[in-house]
Parts: sequence; structure tokens; C-alpha cells
Amino acid sequence: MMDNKVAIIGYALDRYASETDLSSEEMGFKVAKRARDHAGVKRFDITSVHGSTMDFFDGVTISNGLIIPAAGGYNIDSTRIQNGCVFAIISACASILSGASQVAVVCSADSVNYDIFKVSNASTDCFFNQPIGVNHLSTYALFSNGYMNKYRISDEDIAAVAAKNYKDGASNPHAHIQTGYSVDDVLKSKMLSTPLREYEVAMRSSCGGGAIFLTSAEMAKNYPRKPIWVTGVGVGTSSINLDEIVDLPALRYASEIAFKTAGIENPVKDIDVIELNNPFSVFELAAYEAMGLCKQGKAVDLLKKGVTQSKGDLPVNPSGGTLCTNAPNSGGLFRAIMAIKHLEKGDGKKGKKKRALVHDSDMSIGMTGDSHALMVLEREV
Amino acid sequence: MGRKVGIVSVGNTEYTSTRRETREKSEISNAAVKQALDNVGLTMKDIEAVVYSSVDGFEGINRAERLQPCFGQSYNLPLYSLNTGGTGGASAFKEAYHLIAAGLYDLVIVFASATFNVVVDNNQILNTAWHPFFEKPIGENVITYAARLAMKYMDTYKWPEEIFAEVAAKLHRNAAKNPYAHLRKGYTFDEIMASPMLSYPLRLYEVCPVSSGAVCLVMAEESRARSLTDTPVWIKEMASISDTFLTGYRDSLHFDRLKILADRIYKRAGIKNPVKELDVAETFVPMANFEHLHYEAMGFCEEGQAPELIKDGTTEIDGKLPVNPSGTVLCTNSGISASLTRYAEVALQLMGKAEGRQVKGPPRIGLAHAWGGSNGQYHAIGILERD
Repeated sequence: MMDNKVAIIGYALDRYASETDLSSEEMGFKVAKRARDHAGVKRFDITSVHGSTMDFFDGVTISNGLIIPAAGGYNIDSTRIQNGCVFAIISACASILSGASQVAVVCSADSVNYDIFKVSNASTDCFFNQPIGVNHLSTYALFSNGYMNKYRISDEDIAAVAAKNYKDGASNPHAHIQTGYSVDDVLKSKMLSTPLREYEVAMRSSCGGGAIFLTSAEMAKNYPRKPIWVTGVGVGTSSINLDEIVDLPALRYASEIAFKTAGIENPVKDIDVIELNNPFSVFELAAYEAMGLCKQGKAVDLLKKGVTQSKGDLPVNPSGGTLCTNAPNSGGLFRAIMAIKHLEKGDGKKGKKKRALVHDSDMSIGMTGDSHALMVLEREV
Repeated sequence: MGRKVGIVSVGNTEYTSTRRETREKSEISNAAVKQALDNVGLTMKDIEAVVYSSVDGFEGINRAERLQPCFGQSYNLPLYSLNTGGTGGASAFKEAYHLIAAGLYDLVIVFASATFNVVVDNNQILNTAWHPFFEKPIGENVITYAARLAMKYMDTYKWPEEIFAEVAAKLHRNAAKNPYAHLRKGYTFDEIMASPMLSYPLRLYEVCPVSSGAVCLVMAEESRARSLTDTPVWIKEMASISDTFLTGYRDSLHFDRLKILADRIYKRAGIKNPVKELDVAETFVPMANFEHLHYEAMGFCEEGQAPELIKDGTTEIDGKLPVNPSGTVLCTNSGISASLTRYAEVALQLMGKAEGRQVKGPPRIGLAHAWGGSNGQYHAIGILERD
């Protein structure tokens, strides 16, 4: 798998907010144009567009019809992946590596306010689950209870994870929520669905967008920016039964493949920064274990030792993560671009950042049958 | 350049009307997937990834694949979910082709959903695909759109409305020979002309039904494909094209994007004279008049001359270039699966497994097409060939 690497040659991100005056195609046009200027790509050099949105999030059936032409897709090859933007980046990599595309753009935008409880409920089984009101929050809570009971995790521990994210989000100018809630603030926030409190579940960033340009290693020489390389990818899908996913086997499966393709043996040592899609606090702890950062049940120790703090050995979500910026469509691009910015800044534990891991998932509509993608990004130093 | 990719197996379910359907969505999916795997003696454990396609806005359930256990979720297999409208099946096919050619996976399942099987009023939900402010409120749907195209075609090239019944008669005749067609009544020209007018000049039997059923393909990298079957069908070229989202900018006489795409694909595949060089074609024809427009965009004849190809029998099953020997979407409209079926049908023809509808030859190279999005924003073409 992944014999050759693919180059990221430019990107752009719009500010995330609760409201915007732009429709999703206007937002897509804006970010795709800015990313194209950033990459130094000419309009007609684009050979494929890979969108990542969901019909139910956009309020239009076949909603890629809006974003594809806006991102430069008129007259050329295009597709739309619904699992998330990192999946769309994998699709772009596959297009480039197969020789079908030379310069690919991945674009996504959010601009619609909708009721996530209704959408996530409409994503469950229509005979058995929809009538009893199953939604994303109830699956998060069931998962959290399962995980916390199994490993004896306390409310304070999960509040500490949330507070870690809010602290980092407060110093990230790109983050939507910059309030910097403390552990106390989190514990005092109202209970939404036991054991998850209001500040432990990501608020929605309804508006924003991002775009990334990719090309082959050979073609990358023609463009001005020093590329960030996609060197490994892995994808896995969860069982549709909630009782089978407490230890996130899908994320484990995805990370094993991603690490193998990128030649990573010890993730804590070999990776410099992780951007994780953590729509609720408990997920981050379970993800540490599934990605092999620590032994099963030892995630809280890892957190308490400060390893995953922004100044730690392996910062997880120094951007503030999904708890601070929860864009349902374009969240994957937000995380990828945050990771790229970390790599480009080049600071960190060894004085130079080299390798980042970006996670994406479609958990925003609930926890069963959710898919997980991991992508390894590298910068030559 | 990428690796060579082949289709090794096609799994079909039975097709019926959505009104008579007794199977649940996941039962249909499971039947198609199981059939495709059984054909080549594989189980889900052997598969490395699944590419799925549907249109959630048409399903009534968001991301229906997340609720169906037949896509290897128990093994944590990657499940890519694509949605590009009516071209969804072709997009899933293209995605699987790219993933394998790029070296990410060796053995992949492609499945497209039986989308419409829970739908109460199809035209109402199709309407939700148009622009929510400018086009949806005026009640656009695919039949009125196709009728406008048909009127402009008749008006521009001075053809009578019988030309549409001639296409429909050919397709119904073909579908009667296809065990995987939904409408197998073989309506004649006279029966079609006597059927009720839906939207002038299109009559009931010139417009597709709403069907239930699904198709699944197994695709593999070259050496795996050769070890699994004696009749692998290779993908020679595959691409899609996009138009604008708002439909007012478009030429309502021709499929002009399809023409650009076809020219592009022929050039890459080294095809100079498609009628001579292609052995079979399956195009996406939900309304009879689309077939004329496909002939012209794909270079089978000059503009305005398509009805001649029907009249002289060029595109019959035993003609020079058989087009739609399956009876196409006009007789089996299984939602997004119908676009993947075009690729599956060409594969079956090239494998020599098309039973009653098999074209003579044996065929070596075929074209598969798909159409979708608001008023056909997207087209996709694949060129398939055998050794």
C-alpha cells in the first residue's frame, strides 16, 4: 500500500463561526480560490475535485452539485465522499497515484443551520431506533458509560480532557470556541446525557470551509511551495452494534494500516502531533488506546503525565480539537490544515516537527457504523 | 501510472416494483453482495475495502449503509460512502478503480443502493435535488425536464413524436430477454403509443418505472483478478464530468458535457470510430429521448440523425453497435444501483454471461455510461475490455 507519496501544495481555511452570509457554494468558491492562489495552481490545471459534504447537512439532495463547480469542477472529473474530508483526501491521493488526475482539489464547506438531533435520529434504523429517539448524543453517552465503567474513569478525568482542549483552543486564532473553559467550568456545566455535560460535547460550528490542493511527487516540483507529504493512510469502519465498539476496534484497525504504510513502529516516538476528531471528551481517551499511544485502560495516566498536552511529548489536538471547532462537513480539512500548520511552523519537542497524524470520522451523526480514517503527513527537514 | 484493474464478478438480485417489494433494504444489499462473492468463491473476510453509493436525500434515511451489516463492518473493513446523484454507481466504480490502481487495496467490493425501495412519491423527492431557492419551488422533476428536451429535439430537427416510442419499443423488447429487468412485458410500438401521456411528448411507457433490486461488483488488481476468474473484464478508461449546478446555463438540445467527456475518453482510449470499434454500449436512459441524445454526444451519428440509427437497426442486439441490450433504466430503475448496473451489464456482455441478451461477437470492448445530478449535472463514461 501507498508505494508513492502524494504532495500537498497549498491550502486555505475560512474562519469558523456560528453564522455566515455565504451560501455553501460561495464559501466553497472562496476557500478553493484562496487555496489555489496559495498553491500557485492555474485555473485550468485542476484535473479533479473531491468534495466532502452530506446531503442532510446541506439541506439539498445531491448537495455536491453546489460545491463541485464552485471548487473548480466545471468540465472536469469529480466525486464526493460522505465519510469526511480525510476520506476525500484519500480519494484524491488514489486519483493521483492511479494516474487519473494530476492536480486534485479537496474542498468542503459548512453554511447551513440544522437540527443535529433530527439529522442524527434520521441516521438510525427507521423501525427500531428512530421511534425511541436515538440520536448522536445518546450513542455518545452509551459509549461513554461503557468505556468509563470498564476502565473506572471518573467524571473529573473526562472533564480534564475537555479542559485540555478548551485551553489549547483559546490560543488558536482559527478555533471557533475560544473561551478556555476550565475543569471546574466543565463540571459545572449542565448534564446533557449522563455522563456527558454540556462542555464535554462539541458545539456546532455551522459555518466555515476549507480546501487543499494535492499533486504527484513529480508535479510538485512545478509549484512554489515546499510540499507536505501524505505518506500513509488507513481506514476502518465500526460494527453496527454498540456493544462491539467500546474499545474502538475500527480506529485500531485504521491506525495499524496507516502506521504500516507510513513505516511507523512506535507512534508516541515517531509522531510529533495528532489532530483527532473528538466530538465528545471520552472519545479522546478511548482513541489514545486504540491508536496505540498507551496500553488499554491507561489513557488517563497518559493524560495526567501531560504527554498529550500542547507542550508534551506528543501533543493531541493543540488546535483545540473538535470540542472547539466542530464543522460537520469540513472538519477533516480543518484538522488536516491545523496539522500542516504545525509541521510548517517546525517548533516542538525536537526543535522541528516532522510527522503529523490526522484523524477523521463521521461520528457527528452517531457512534454505530461510524468510519474512521487516519492520514500521516510528513515534512522534510 | 496505476495498476491494471479488473471486474471479476457481478452479483444481481431479482428486480421488482417498489410497490411489490417484500425485502428490506439490507436484505437486498446482502443478496447482491453475497451473489457477487459466491460467484468467485470469496467471503467478506477476503475483501479489503467496500465502496458504497447512494443518495441520502432519496433514501429517507441518512447514510443507510451505516445500518446494514453486510458490508464487512464486523471485520472493520473500510466503507467508503459516495454520493454524486444518479452517477453514484459510476462514481463508486471509479473510486474502486482508483483505489486499486493506486495500490491502496487489491480486492474491493462496489455496491450501489436500491435507493428508491422505501420511497412513496418518487417525483417529489427527486425535486429536492434542484436549487432550493431558484428551481425547486417551480416543481422541476426529471420527467418535465426530459419532456422539454424532447420537445426541443422534435422542434429543431423536425421529427414526429413517434421516434420516442421507437426507442422505447426497442428497449422493452430487449428487457423481455433480460432476467434482471423489472419490466419484462415487451411493450410494442402500438402499445407504447396508446399508453397515457405523462408530459408531452413523453408517454407512460417511454418513462422509467420505480424498481427495487441492486447490483454488486467485485473488482481486483490484475494478478488477483486472473487467479479468481478466467474472464476478467479490464477497465481501459474511466472519468466523469461536471456541469454548473443551476440548470439555466445549459444547452437543452444536446448533452454537450457528455460530448466533451466522450471525446476526451475516446482520445485516451485510442478510439477513432466508436460505431466500428465498440462492440456494445450501455447508457443511462430513464426517458426514451435520452438515447437519441447519447448517440449524438457519443459520436454514434451526426446531430439530429439519432432516430435513423433506431430505424435501421444499428443499435439492436444483433446490430452493428448494440446499445442497451439490457433494456436499460427505462425498464429497470433501481435507484443509484441502476447506474452501476450499466457497468455490470457491459462486464457481463464481455464475460459472455449475458444470457438471453448476449450480443454476438464475442464482444471485446464496451462502453458504459451514467447520468445524474440536477438535470444531469454529471456524466460518467467507462471503457471496459477483455483480453
